[in-house]
Amino acid sequence: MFKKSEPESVRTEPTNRLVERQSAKPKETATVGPSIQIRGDLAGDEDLVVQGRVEGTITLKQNLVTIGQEGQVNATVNARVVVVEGQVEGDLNGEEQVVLKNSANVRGNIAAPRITVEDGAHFKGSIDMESNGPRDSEGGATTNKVTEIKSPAAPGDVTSKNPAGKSSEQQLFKS
Amino acid sequence: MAIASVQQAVTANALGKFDFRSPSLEIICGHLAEPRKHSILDLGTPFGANIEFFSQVPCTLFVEDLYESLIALPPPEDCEGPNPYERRVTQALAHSAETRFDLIFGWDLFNYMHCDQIHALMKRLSGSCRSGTLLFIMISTAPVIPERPAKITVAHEGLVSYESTSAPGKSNPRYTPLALERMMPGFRLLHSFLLAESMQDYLFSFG
Repeated sequence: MFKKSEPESVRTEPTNRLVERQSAKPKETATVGPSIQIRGDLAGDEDLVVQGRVEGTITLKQNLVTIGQEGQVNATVNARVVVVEGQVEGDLNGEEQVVLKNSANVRGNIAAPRITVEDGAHFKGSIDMESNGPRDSEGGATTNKVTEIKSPAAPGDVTSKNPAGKSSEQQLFKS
Repeated sequence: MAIASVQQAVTANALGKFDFRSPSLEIICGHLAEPRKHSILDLGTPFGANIEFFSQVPCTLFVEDLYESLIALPPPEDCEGPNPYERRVTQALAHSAETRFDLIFGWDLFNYMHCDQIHALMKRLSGSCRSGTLLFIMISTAPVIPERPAKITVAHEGLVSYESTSAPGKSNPRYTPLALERMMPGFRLLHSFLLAESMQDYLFSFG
């Protein structure tokens, strides 16, 4: 009886440790290297860095997608957070945030609750500032969310109230 | 048309960076305070401070960043056929022709545009305007202007922050209000105010 129960407790302990290790483990990140070209739909459950070329769609709604400085993307990008350092032609939909770094060159439409545009970024397209978020129970007004606007040249640029959200007019710009 | 000398430079320094109050921008802010969703076209470079400013009102902001894609291009050659400026404008603009705007911000870009460029641009944009669409531009009266458009941002309601990003060295066309109206069929001048540092703001209305 005693001997039988001992192994059980021994087995249980390393399992718990494994769970702890897994939860502490950094998120997996996939990389599309500079020499890689992909045509089609990319989907998955890990963060993605694109330094190569992608045409199609990228859908990683729970993850971070970074278009690196060497990245050239001609695709609609759907992700939790989208960070652009390279070139994108297509719409960027961020569940949480879209960030255009100062090296970014984007032509398309942006929809996200928080949008960060660094001075120096090139952008042609639309940004929808209308919230589809929770509504004020009394007046029915949209609830503003926060947009961060950063400028490396002018660090004083700051955070403001922003009713940004998902767009119902995503094709207003030719993309 | 109301013309007033405002001359309210709040701060200035030798680096070509200064802030001043723009009465035309104050009028625009009054329009933006109306509780509805606005459709705004920014012809200039997307500066974070301006996106922040526009984000305070419900709107769809369209950014065209026309300097590199249109204004800085060399003049068209004969082989480009008739109406080369109009074709270039069509190529440069990213928004669809069906889009309608309430407000258009031209900042100081017109100082850097040939009159044919302005005419072609505004002819194209007039199709995207409603009756009452407002156009905000800033024209320099100085004979020489910086080589490139300045970084002009809205610091606060009606308060404009102007920062040169290049040294003076370009001859200024110094368009007059009458010349501007001729270049922009359908637009009429509502207000013009003299500002600091040889700048003048203009507010046009369509229709």
